[in-house]
Amino acid sequence: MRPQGIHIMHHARFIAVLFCAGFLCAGWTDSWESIRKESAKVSSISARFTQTKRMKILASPLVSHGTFCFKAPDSVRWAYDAPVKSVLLLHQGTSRRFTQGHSGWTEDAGIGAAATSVMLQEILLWSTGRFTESQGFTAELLAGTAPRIHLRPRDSSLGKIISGIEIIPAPDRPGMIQSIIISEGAGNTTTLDFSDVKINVPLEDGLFRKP
Amino acid sequence: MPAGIKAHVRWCSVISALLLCACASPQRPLPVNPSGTEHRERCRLPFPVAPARFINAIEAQLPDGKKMTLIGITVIDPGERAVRAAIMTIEGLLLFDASTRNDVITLYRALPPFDGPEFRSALLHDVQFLFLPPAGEPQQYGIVNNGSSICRYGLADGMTIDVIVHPDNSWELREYKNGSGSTRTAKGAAAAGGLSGTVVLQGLQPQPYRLQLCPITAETAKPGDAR
Repeated sequence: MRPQGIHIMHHARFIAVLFCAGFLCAGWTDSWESIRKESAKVSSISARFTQTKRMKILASPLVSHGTFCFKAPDSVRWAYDAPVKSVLLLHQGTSRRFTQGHSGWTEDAGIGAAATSVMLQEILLWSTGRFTESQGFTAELLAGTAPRIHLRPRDSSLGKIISGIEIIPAPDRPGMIQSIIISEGAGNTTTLDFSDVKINVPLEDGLFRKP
Repeated sequence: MPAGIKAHVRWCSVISALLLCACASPQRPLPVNPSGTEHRERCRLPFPVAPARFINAIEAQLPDGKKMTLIGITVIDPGERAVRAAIMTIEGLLLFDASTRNDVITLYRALPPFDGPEFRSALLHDVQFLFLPPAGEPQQYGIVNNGSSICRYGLADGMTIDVIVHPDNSWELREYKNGSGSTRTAKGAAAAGGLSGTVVLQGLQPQPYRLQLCPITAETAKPGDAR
């Protein structure tokens, strides 16, 4: 098996890591221990997100919007409202991806289906605040007045896909994340900005079963 | 097998399946009834006349009816016959980015399984087929029996491309090899609201596949953006 397979796996893990890392560490990033301790208190997350993709081929960024939901122990809903309606679901160990096309919602047999099973593993890891245990990335915690976490790929093959990640906690909202910046190299970046974040609110299981 | 490797194998299988899907039968060339030059002019309708940038949702249909969706970004410069094309996931991972001009391909990024030379060549060929008019002047032009305008272009590599524009401004492209059945076809809805309509591309040889492009944005590009 060529090492490219690992690349795809790491990307899936990486996306999962970003969401969970962002929500779990912001505002109380003095130490990994404090992150682990506080993350154990999170039973659910609901937030809006804006994804801004910047690439040389684009004259202006491509902006996507959606909603992210997490419910302990193992349920995730990652839904895009625009420009393409898509829902990624992880629930009780099963991952599914749906996209809304001309014929309504259809289950995606492609990238999402394969990647989400890997994402789930990483989500569970990060949900317990164990950033430093990621097999794909090393994590550096930069505390201070502008705390942030830098994630860097552990090996060069992964580095060709993701050159680095920066997680910026919201300075005035303990427990919340402001932005996540994913760098792919050559000036290509994906920025995720979160808003309307709600922690430990009741989330129905049905949210994680179908679009 | 580790979960990550399994995931990759499944992912590659999807791509392979995409390339194997049987979606349509080859079509025979339509007879061309020679007619006025206005029909030759109408054959330009499907193609941008100035540098342009398109963002599309690309819905790929698999042989068993399942689908996968990606986002495609295309920049074309008709004057230079240059094309730059990128593919990314909905979640924002850039999978492929390459350009071609004067048959020279420049690869900026290609993640597996998009990193093979055959894939990049085929993808850029598809983009050129859809967004650039065939090179040169048509060998024949006129109408077909249903009244649609048609232009037939003979290419240097022995291929033939028919551009067909229907009375309602929807259009078709058909590529043939040595006058036999079609090897690649495309159907597009008439432009509306500043956006070109939905386009369905079907490749029939050597292995069938089907892609449906749904417009997200279309905008004017600057000369050189396609490089």
